[in-house]
Amino acid sequence: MRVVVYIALLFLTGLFSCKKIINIDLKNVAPQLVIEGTVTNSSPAKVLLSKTVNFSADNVFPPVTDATVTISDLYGNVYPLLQTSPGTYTNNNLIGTPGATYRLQVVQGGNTYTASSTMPQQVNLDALLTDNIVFAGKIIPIIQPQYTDPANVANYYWFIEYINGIENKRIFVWDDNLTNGGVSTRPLIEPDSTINAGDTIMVEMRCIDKPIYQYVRGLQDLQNNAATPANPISNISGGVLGYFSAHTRQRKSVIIPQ
Amino acid sequence: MQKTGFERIFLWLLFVVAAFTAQAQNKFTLNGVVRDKTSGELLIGAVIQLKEIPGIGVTTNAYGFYSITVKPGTYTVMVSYAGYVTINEKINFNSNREQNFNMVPLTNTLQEVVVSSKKKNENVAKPLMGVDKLNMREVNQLPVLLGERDVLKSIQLLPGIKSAGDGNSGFFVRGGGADQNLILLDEAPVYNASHLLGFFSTFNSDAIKDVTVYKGGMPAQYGGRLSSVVDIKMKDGNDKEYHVDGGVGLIASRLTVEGPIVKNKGSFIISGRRTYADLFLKLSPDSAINTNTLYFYDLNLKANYTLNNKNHLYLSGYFGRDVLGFGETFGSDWGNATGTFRWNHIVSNKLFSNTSLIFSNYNYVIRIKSGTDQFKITSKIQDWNLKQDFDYFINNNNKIKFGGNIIHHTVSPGAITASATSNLKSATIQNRYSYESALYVSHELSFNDKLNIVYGLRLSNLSAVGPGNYYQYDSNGNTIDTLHVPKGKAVASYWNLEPRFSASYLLNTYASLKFSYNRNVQNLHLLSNSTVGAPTDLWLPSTNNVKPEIADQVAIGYYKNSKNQVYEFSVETYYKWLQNQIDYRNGADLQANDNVESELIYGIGRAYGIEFFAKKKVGKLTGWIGYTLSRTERKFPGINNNQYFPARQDQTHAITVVGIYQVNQRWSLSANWVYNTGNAVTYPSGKYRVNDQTVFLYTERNGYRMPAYHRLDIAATVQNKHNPYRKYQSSLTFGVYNVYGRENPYFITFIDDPNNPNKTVAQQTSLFRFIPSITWNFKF
Repeated sequence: MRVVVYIALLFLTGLFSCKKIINIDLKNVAPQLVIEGTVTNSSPAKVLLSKTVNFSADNVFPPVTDATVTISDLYGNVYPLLQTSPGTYTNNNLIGTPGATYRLQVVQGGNTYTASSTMPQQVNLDALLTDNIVFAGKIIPIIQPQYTDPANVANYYWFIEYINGIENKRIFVWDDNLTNGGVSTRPLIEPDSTINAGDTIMVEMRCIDKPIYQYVRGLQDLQNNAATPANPISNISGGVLGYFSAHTRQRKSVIIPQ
Repeated sequence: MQKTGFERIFLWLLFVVAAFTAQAQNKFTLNGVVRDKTSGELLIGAVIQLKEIPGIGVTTNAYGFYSITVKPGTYTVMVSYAGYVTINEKINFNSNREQNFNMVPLTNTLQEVVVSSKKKNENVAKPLMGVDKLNMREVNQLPVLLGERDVLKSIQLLPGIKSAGDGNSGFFVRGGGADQNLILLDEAPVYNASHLLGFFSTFNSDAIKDVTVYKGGMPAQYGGRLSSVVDIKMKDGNDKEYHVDGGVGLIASRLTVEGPIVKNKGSFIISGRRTYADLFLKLSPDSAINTNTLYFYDLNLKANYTLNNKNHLYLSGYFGRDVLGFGETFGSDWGNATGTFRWNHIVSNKLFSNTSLIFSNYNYVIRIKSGTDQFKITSKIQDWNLKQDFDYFINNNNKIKFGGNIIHHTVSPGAITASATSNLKSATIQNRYSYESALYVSHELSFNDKLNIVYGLRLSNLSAVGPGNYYQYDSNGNTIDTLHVPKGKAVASYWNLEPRFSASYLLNTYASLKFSYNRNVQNLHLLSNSTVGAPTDLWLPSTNNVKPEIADQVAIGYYKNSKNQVYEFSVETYYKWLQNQIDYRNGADLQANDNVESELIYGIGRAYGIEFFAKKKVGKLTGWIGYTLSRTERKFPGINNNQYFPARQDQTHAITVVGIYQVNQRWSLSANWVYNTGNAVTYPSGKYRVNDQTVFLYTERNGYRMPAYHRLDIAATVQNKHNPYRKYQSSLTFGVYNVYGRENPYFITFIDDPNNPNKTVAQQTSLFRFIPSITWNFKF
């Protein structure tokens, strides 16, 4: 709901506002390690390691190539991840199972970073519905993922929208407080939508665990111009940026009707 | 423990009262009220003096009541009030008697120049610090955004009071947060004093009689917020004849009707205001635009009736609402409703009593429809307050105020109601109930011509009560226990003693030194995590987890008036210690969260500064210059390595310059210029890649500064030709807001460079450059 109020505010201020690019002298910061690890039920486990750069630098993030990366499960299976390209560590044999807990270990520069994540049971993405809404003077096509939320557990959902194959950067993440035990068609609303009739929209639905929900919501807060922005809280110990998530992954596509 | 607190106060009070009544035997008392002769409005703060005994003077209280006691004899009673002809009347004090005074207003501002220059230098002599009274005549001449006169914007031109910026009616007093200001309209707290998300304040200046701002040195009758009290009193209405006042502006129109209910006995006033920006939207042929709604309205109502010489009843109310909607998809409205019923009772010629029953409600509704999903979110805070105040005019050197009140707060953080066709579930976050009560006594005492003091004590309590579940959390915010609290049972009760003290010492007729110390306690806390105040910000009372916020402030000031009383100068310096300040964990979820208290962290704060103020009070050119140098910092565990960091409102330098020039009887010109250091703000220092997107890296809270804010506004007002025999008067005001078009930052965001996807840049959004306005005001 915050998002809706925020958008309303933007509309209102849009009546008077003007925007311009300004120069701000931002401090430099020592490079920090960033870990982005995923285990899914339909793709190989992957861990990306990179470093932060200064704000004024190009968007080129130096890969970290000297790390030892392993993922283990609770049955004593240890899967080493091998570097397939600079900073990308994968293991094609590790496809996750819903309900299982995975443990990540990254050793780099004399430090050890660990995290664990439990893959939730998959909630089936039944359909992608499309609709239009009129919002702030614009007609906006919306996509409605349809699924039936299980009643007896807390569920967390993360959706990624691709418009003609290009990822939409807006983050769609929510819990089941509004829909627990029912059919949800909660829409993906992009107020700056560039979707047109005939476009192909692909939606990836992820069922995530609670720490990852909190992490992704932290990313969403940054998109929504929070008063006191802060780094999302990582579920990885050892003082590092990023996250390690074991989640289910399903994709569906729909073509926007004329 | 609790009882002894109350008992002690009453014993002390009885002692003080007894001590002073004993010495007042062979004297006589004159008491009554002071009114405007033409409208019957009670005058607040009119000065009653005796020519034969210089140095003795009393002022009328908030209901125009005064009481003065002297030895038998014949005296010349002088009654003076800015903008009115001074009354001189010989009165023989040979018995106690009642005497009401009716003062004749000066018909034009040039006349005022002459007469008010004889006014007593009250600002120097009174033992009140950090108090500013807004002159509504001045407020009405200042240039304002879109021609909408606004008392909350006007007080931000005073030193020590800082604006939260364009598009935001929040303000910061001496380093406190925007939620630490108690805004009272006829004694009822107004929880969200802004319209259109902060572009305008909720107060329609046509209906306002008096505005007093306390930014330190709050007398003991006020409590509940740390930083300031803005005490706004509505007009009573003309009890002699009917009058209509109105105005037509670019975005809103106003209309006020006032008149007698029973002549000289009772009157009413109704004042309304509505914006009409949405009517223009309707003109658009585009259905995407003409289905949008966007407006607000205000309604102020007040009626009063004199039962007899000793009893007077008042009923006042305010109702205001903002409505914002986009077609069928999204609708929202929010607003305040307040009501105050008061009974003034003159117990004796020295004891004045006021009993108030006060209601206040703020709520919002959001309606959302998407496909078959249709639901509504509602939230409210509601108060019932019963309050009893006494003013006891013991003698001319001693005055005591005492009383108490009890408030019942109901906070409904949020309820989601889904339609039957919806897939969504209805859900309610439980209500929070609490009782907030206080007892106070305040004694104003003149030792001699030079030394005046006001000291007092306020005993306050907050009890968080059931029904409801209250939670206990570990240090990481995880629930470790749930307390099922039955109806009426307290889960937490906080007692606080709040001493208040201020003194003034006259160095000579024109200069004084003042000192004050205050403790204030706040038990309602506003949770907000947007850069601008949003209507959905949530008030949260103290609970077992959230402790009362406490502020201690000391201030020292030097006040001087020029010998001819044309210029006034003051400098005040203060230091403030803050305890139990509230902030959020990183990534906190404040909306619709039953466990919102688990998202909070608690810290301390400090604020200090020095304020310079110079004012020219009379003449063709009037106005003032204010300068504030200040710092305000907070310290929270886990933020910025547990070091002090600047609070958002930490504006190092703040300057205001205000000038009003009366060209002739018809034309007046005004201008104001403001400058302040930008707010402290959190900017990223680096960036990294997650999810194939650039994410910014934050290294410290509030480690950067927004660009400085400055702005010049001008206005010109022309009156129709003056004719004393004509009732009808009108004026036109032309204004320009932000004359030189400074692009003041509203917010700054960091984005991928639209011209070079390989870079990131900072983007500034600003509001309001060169906004012209024209307003037509009339009166008959």
